Amino acid sequence: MKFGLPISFALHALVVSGGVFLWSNGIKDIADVKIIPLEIVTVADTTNVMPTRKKRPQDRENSIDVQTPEQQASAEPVPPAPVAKAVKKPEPEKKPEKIEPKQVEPVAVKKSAPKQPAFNLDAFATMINKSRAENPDANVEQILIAEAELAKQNQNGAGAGSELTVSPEEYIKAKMEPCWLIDQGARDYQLLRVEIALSLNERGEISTLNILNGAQIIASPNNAWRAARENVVAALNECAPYDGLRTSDYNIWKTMKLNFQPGDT
Amino acid sequence: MQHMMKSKRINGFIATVTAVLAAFFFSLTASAQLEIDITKGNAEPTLIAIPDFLSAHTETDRIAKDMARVISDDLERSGLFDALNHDLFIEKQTDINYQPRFADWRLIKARALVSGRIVRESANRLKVEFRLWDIYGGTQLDGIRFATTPDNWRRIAHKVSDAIYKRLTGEAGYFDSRIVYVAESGPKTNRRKQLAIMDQDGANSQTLLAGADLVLTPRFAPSAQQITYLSWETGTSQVYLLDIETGRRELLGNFPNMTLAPRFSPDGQSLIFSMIKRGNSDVYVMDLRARSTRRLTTNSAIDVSPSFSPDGKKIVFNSDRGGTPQLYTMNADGSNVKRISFGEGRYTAPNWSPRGDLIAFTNSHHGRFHIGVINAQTGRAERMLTDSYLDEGPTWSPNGRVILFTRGTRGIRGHSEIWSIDLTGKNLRKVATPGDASDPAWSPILP
Repeated sequence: MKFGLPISFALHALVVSGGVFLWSNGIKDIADVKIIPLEIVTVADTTNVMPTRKKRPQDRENSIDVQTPEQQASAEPVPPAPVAKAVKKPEPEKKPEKIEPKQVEPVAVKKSAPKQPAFNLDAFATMINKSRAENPDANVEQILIAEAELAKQNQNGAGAGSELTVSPEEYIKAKMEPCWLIDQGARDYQLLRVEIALSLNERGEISTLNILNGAQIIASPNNAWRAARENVVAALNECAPYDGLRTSDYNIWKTMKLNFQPGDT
Repeated sequence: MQHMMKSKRINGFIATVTAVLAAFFFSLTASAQLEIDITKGNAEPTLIAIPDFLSAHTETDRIAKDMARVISDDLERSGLFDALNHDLFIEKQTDINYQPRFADWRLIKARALVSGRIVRESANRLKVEFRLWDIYGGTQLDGIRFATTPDNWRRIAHKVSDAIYKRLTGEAGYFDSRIVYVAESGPKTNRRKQLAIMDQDGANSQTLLAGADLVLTPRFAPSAQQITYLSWETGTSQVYLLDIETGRRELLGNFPNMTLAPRFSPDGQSLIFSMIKRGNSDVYVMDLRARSTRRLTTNSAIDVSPSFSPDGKKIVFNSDRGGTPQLYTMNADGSNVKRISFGEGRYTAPNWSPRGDLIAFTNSHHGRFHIGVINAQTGRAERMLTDSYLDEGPTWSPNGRVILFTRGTRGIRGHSEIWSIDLTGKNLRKVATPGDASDPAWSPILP
């Protein structure tokens, strides 16, 4: 009873101060939302999509000249995508056609004839100009958000696997798909995981290739796992060199951990 | 003393903090490494180069060519390999004791190369050698030598196929094996059914019993030397044992109203079958040494088509105790009966895979027949591999990767054929037989 009052006082003080603390944090969370579009703009910059910041009000003339993917394609020759290279490699004879990279082909088609964007960019630009003419003091932040959206759609329009946006991860996946042969009749084939540590030189050639779970594979009674391991190694060797990766990102892809495990088919 | 202990404590604390910080920075570094999960590949066959075997004698030139062809056909039939056209080969082999020019084989996308030769040691003796090369690894994967008589070259070719298959898939092959089946002739209303045997690729087909008796459901013993089958030569169903090497036949017993095929246990010491007694069909097991039978199921429903698991501890059978014929498993002594199929239609003719993981069955639903597989342990992951007017009677390849079955076509002039399907359901093939054929049973790998 002697300490009842001080304990009660302390608890109330704790609850009140906690509430104030949480309430103040809540305000900070809402403030963070405004940063999101700016982050999208930054991501767009790293993908070679036309930098949308040029369309700020002070650069109005330039802002209208947003290049559509078609214009980009015609204006300056886009360097061939690494994936496209794999597809265009001349097949030496008739039989090997069977392991032509089936899944990669659509990507190559997208690149050679970029898709029409889902919306009309010219109409969009005209609309922006009209809006700006009517209200020159329009909220800059709103325009930035719209531009961020535009950048995002450019990015999407270019498509996954495009030379404009392809990430090392997408590139490696696309490159491996035609080379990696999966034996779907093997016992528990979907559990046969093979983990690889792969080091590449700047030309995309294999420097070292280590099997990380080799001991586990050898110890397994399922011999098909060993065959799966050999299939993965053969696929990595067959697909090399991985010369479609951007050399400026060499630090990102010079060493990789690749986990091969068949997914649902 | 206290000072020393305090100092130790401080040192321990510093060491712990250092270790934690090191682990933290290490984890940061590790997490910075690019990690990619690759889940998509393709199920295309592996490209393999199998040049004609080399031969130093004109007498063996023909065999050298044929051997390469039989090996190519074996591997291609599995659906896992595609033998490259010889016209594509850049390097022409003149010897097998050499290092192939791997770059030449990589150019035509070969993953593996088989180089072999035949040496005629005497008029009645051949030596067959082969080497299997990993083109991308630049290493020899296998190298085996066989000795045989010239007329036995096909078996050697199948053995080479088995060795290649095993080395490249990790699982045993199935090419040096045979199929026993019922050869059918005559009109459907008056069918003649004889027991016949052939190699797994359809070659060397021959009649085992030339009589006009009606024979059904032949099944191999684990030794591959004996066959058990049902015959109606005396007007009632009788179970026989037939030694396929000696031709000696043995009557195991008269079983009036026996319903379906007897099968061997994995150790070959007993037979399991179903039998009707007093209007009730149940599963029985017969000890082949004591010739005594024991009843395993006692349900009033129709319990038929039993098949042992490869370890001999379990039995799968089908029963209509749930209303429609479904698959059930039980212990080898008849205890612990458990239903494992719950799909639509009728589930019949279950057959436990030699690999132990799957059970093949016949399913009929809405007038269509299917050969399907189901997980033997969980009863889940059911897959229908075929779909036709009439597919029935699945039998497994010795490695549990391919299923043979009977496919019938509609009408009075319809045919009965043997087909094969692999576990992916994508590699459906007709097995060549001299005439109509049904009820195949695959042997184990030949000794």
